[in-house]
Amino acid sequence: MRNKQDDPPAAICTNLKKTFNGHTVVNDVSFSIAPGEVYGLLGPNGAGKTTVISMMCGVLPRDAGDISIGGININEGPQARAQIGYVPQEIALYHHLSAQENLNFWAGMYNIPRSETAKRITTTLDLVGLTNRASDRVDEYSGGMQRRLNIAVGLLHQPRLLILDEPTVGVDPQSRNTIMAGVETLHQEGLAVLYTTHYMEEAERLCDRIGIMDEGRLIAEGTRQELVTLTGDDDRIELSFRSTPAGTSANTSEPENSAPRKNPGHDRQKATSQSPQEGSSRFLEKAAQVARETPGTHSAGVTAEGAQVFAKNGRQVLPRLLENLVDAGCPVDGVTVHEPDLEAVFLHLTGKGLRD
Amino acid sequence: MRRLLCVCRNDLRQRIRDRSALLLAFAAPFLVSAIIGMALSGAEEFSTTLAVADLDRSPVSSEFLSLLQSEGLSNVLDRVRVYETATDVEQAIADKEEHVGIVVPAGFAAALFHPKEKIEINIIGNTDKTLSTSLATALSEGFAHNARTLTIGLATAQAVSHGKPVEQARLFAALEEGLDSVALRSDFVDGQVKPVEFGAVSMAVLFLFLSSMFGATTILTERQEGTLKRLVASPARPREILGGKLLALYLLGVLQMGIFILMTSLFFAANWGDPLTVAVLTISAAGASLGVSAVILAFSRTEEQARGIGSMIVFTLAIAGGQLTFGAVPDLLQSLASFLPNGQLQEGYLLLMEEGAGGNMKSVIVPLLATSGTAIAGTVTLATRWRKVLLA
Repeated sequence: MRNKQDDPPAAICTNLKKTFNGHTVVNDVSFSIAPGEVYGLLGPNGAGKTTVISMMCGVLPRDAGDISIGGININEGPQARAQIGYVPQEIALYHHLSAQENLNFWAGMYNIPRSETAKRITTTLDLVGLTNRASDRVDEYSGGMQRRLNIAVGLLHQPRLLILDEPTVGVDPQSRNTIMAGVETLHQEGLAVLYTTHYMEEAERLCDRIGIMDEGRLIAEGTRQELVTLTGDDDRIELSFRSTPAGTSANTSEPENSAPRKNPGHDRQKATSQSPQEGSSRFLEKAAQVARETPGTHSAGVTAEGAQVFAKNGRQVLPRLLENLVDAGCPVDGVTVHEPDLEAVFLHLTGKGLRD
Repeated sequence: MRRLLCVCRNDLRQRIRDRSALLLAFAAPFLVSAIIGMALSGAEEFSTTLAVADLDRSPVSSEFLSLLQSEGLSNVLDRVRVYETATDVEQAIADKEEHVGIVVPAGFAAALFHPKEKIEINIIGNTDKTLSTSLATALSEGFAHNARTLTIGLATAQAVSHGKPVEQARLFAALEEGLDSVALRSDFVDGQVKPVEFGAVSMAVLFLFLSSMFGATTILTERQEGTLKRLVASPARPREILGGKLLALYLLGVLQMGIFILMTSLFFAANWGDPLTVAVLTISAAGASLGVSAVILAFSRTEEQARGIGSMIVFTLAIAGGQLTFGAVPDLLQSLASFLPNGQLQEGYLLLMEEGAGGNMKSVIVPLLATSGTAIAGTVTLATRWRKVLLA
């Protein structure tokens, strides 16, 4: 696989636009993918991710904008398309044929020399772990195996850019993990990948940079860290306690003195019901007060599970916080640190969830 | 070119692996034509049973009975049984003991000698034995007309002989002679084409055009499954993709017709005519089927649409072209068939069958022009709409 710094960008998309029946589904979308980079397009269903990909592959004519793949303008047709390994969302395979026959056909379509075809097929099947099922018909494969073969077809001709359109939709967790591990391997080998998904965890795990799409627009772009800082959010530390003086589990009340959160995702996670037992409430209030007074925290409050504390760097603050709580007679039973994630970024930018 | 052939080979391989496609293309037409052949052969060997009641009991009516029981009609009248009354005949028909009945009413012979009087013979039939009823009607009408003609002749002869009576024996002799002309002929106008061959031609043409519909749907299935999108995203040019797919459909059409002709020749002893001309017409026929596929493809966005549009086109063609009606259509439709590619194709194959080894290209020039014209028109239509077919 390639990973040369002198190589032209794997893809450059400039001001892409597409309209269907007067409805703009892609509006002024621009981004580029460096050689060897995994670029994620993250957005809910209907955001326009697949339309962007279809235009990049020449499957859908664009209304405006420019696309170049590996330095070749897409208008040059076959030459530019030969740089792409396209893996559509559907299982785009010939189900009456075996894996080997499928790959053999695509080898012909990509003009892979006949002398190399057999070796290429063996290598590719090995890469996706289907060597021992090479002669079986595709309709005898499990869904996960079909997904893997679907990706193998895109890799066969050793493209400059692999485009994966929601490759884990409808697959079991094991196959999903295998697919993601495969993408990580390809990344390590230096292949540029455009990966679309509406699963935040996949984008976080795989992508060097992420473009967030909503309603046809690219609303934010950057590394995971860059995107997270857009929200200005803190880490959230959730604390639970062994028992309260009233002998019950720590219970709920509205957090007090907590600063207003920018992130609606965090707000959603706050509990709003009230504790019936005053003793318990006082205990939790005391714990929250201790947390607020600990250096490095911004705010703290009582929740259904115990207490939650907001801090710029949760993991750094945690040892001191726990020490202070123990000293104050509030022994902690459990701690969870939540760093701000892409879901939160999406919520911050659009006011809605990724899977709304 | 390599990519075009690659697409073609891949499509052929898939179709050969698809059992339902194989069934439709090869087994079904053979099976259906075998059934039709048997049905038409059955019609050729038609025979019926007849119940007769002679209430007139005149020499003329006796002569009619003798005619019905004569050797000449034994090939179509399995059995002629005489009953006493009209009620007996009706009962026998109702009980399904006989297929059809004839009642010669009293006064039948007398009416013959009075030209102004209406001659009556009652036919008693069953709704499920229409052919038997038609036969009985034809025989009765034929006899009555002949008898009346002869009595008029007799009256004329009497007048010419100035009232001298003409011997009745001469009348009967004349009657017998006249009735000899009443005989059923089951010869076909086109003499050499057997019913089973006619059925084979009809089914070959019908299934060839049906395959065109399924050919179009397979391409649209690829669109729904995403493989067409993948092909478009590959370095292949649109003309290579569509060309390869159409070439595969065309070769399948030729193969389908070729195998069918071979099998009907072997198993039904069908004589399709001069082999070279049949081969040329078959190559052209597959082109016509391809043209229809191309039109269906050009105007359908989904597999379901292709089935709808395809069914409409193919069954309209089949009805108007005579593949489903076996010639039992109004004159207007029969005239229309000569303007349709499938009608012309059927006509072409039948002509070659009639002419046997003597058939040549001249015999089928019009069918060749009609089928190749359809091929060209269809592919040109598709070429103008390729973007709608290939691009999402």
